[in-house]
Amino acid sequence: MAATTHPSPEGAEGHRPAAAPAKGAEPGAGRPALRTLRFDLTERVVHWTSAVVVLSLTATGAFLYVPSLGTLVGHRLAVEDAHVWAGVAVFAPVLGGVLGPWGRRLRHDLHQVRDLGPDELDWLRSLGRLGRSALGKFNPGQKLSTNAMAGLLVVLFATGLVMRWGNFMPVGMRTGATFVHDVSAFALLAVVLGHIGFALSHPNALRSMVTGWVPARWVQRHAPAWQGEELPPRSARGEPR
Amino acid sequence: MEEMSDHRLSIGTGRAEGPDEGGPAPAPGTRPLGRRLFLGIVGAGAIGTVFGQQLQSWVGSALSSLANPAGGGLAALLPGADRFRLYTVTSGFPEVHRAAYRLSVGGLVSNPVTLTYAELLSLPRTQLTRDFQCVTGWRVPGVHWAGVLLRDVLALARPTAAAKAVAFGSYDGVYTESLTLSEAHRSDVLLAYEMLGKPLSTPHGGPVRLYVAPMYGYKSAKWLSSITLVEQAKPGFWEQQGYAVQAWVGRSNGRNDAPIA
Repeated sequence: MAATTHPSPEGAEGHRPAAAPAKGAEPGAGRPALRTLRFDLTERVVHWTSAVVVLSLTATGAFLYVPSLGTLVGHRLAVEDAHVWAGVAVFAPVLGGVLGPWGRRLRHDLHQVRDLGPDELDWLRSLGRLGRSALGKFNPGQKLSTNAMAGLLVVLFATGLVMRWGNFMPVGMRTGATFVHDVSAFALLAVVLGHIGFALSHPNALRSMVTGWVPARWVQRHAPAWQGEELPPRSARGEPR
Repeated sequence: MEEMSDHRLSIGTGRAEGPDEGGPAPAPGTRPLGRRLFLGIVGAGAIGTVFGQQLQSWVGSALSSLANPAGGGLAALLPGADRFRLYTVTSGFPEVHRAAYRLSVGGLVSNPVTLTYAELLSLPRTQLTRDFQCVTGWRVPGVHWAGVLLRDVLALARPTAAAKAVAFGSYDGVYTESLTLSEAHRSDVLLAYEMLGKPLSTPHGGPVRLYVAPMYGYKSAKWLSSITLVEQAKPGFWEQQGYAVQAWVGRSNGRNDAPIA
C-alpha cells in the first residue's frame, strides 16, 4: 500500500468484495469466492466499440496500403471513403463515454494512466519481477500502452485529415502527413498486437473486459495497490452470475 | 459511499491534479510519464508531418537498395519506400491476355484501326526514364518505360480536321482520360508496354497503358482499350472528382512538385 500512486483515505472500503453464488465450487471452499468489478458497462462499451472501429480501420487501411490486398477488392473510392469515415469516428466512443454522467470510472481510468511512480518504474525495468505491490488497476505497461495508442490515434487522425482535406496545404506537408500516417499505423499495429497478445495470455484480465469482473485473488496478485481506489460496484448485491 | 463519490468526482474533473489542491498527493518520484509519452508521440507526429518530405526522401533512398519499386518484396511495404501504390477504381484488375489484346483507334479519323499487341510492338519503339509522380504525393524516381509514341498511332488513323482532343477508354470499363491533340503529339506521351525492363504487368496497367510523363499519374490510364478522336474532351474519372484536367506535374492541382522533364 505504501507504494500506491494514489493513496486514498477510504482504504479497503472501496474494494467491497461481492459474494459469489453459494454453489460455486471454488478451490477455496468454505470461504466465499470474491470478485471485483474492474470495468463497468461504459468502460466495456467504449473499449469494444473502439476496438471494432480500429479493426475496421486496420482492415480498410490494409486494403489501401498493401497492393495485393487492394487488388482483391478494388473499388478504391469506396474503400477510401469507408476508411476515412471510420477514422473520423475513431474518438466518438471514448468521447461519448467520457463526457456523459456514465463516465466517472472511465474518467478516473484516464487520470490513473497519466503518472508512473518510482516503484512502477522498477516493475517495468525488472520486467515485472520487482515492485508488484505498487501495481494499481492498470500496470505501468498498460498505462504506457494506453498513452501510446492514444497518441498514435491522434497523429493518425490529424494526418488523415491532412491527407483527405489538406488540399490547401503545401505539398511537402501532405507528403509528410502520408509518411507519418504510414509509420504511425505500423506503430499502432505493433502496440495493438502486443495488447491482444497480453490479453490472450491473461484470461482473467481479458474476461474482465467482457464480463466486467475479476476474481479478488487476481486483484491481490496483479493489482494490490488498486485497493481503496475504486467505488464499490453499483451491482455489488445480486450481481449476475 | 457519498464521500467516495465526491472523491471520485474530484478526480474525474481534474481538480485533484496538484498535491496542494486537496487531492491525494502523489508518491515522491511520481512522474507523468504516461502523459509525456502521449504528448511526445503527438509532437513527433507534428514534426514528422512538417519535415516529412525530407524524411520521406531519406528513407526512400535508404530503402531503395531493398525495395523493388514495382511493388514486390517486403521492403516495398515499409513506410517511405519509393514504390508504386496500385490503384484500381473497379473490383480487382481487368485481366487482358496479350494475345487477345486489341486497341481500337476511332472517332474523328479517316482510317479507323484496331491494333493487336503484336502490331503495337512492331511500331517504332521509344524509351523514357522519368519519375512517376502521383497527385497524392508519392513519387517513384527514375522509372524506365518503353512503348510506342501516341502520335505514331494517331498518324496511322489520320485524325480529321475536326478532331481537337483524344479520349481514352480502359478495359476496366469505368476509367476515362483525355488529352488535347497538341498534348497527344508530345514526344513524352507513350502507349507503354514495358516498365522497368519487363512487359507491363496487369496491376500496372498491362498489357498496354497510356503514359503521359509530364502529368500526374491519374492521366496515365491503365489497361488502355480505346483511343477516340473527339472535338472536345469530357473530364476523366478523377477529374470528375475534382482533379485538374490539365494535370501538369508541379503546375496543377495546387501542387508545386518538381516538374518532370
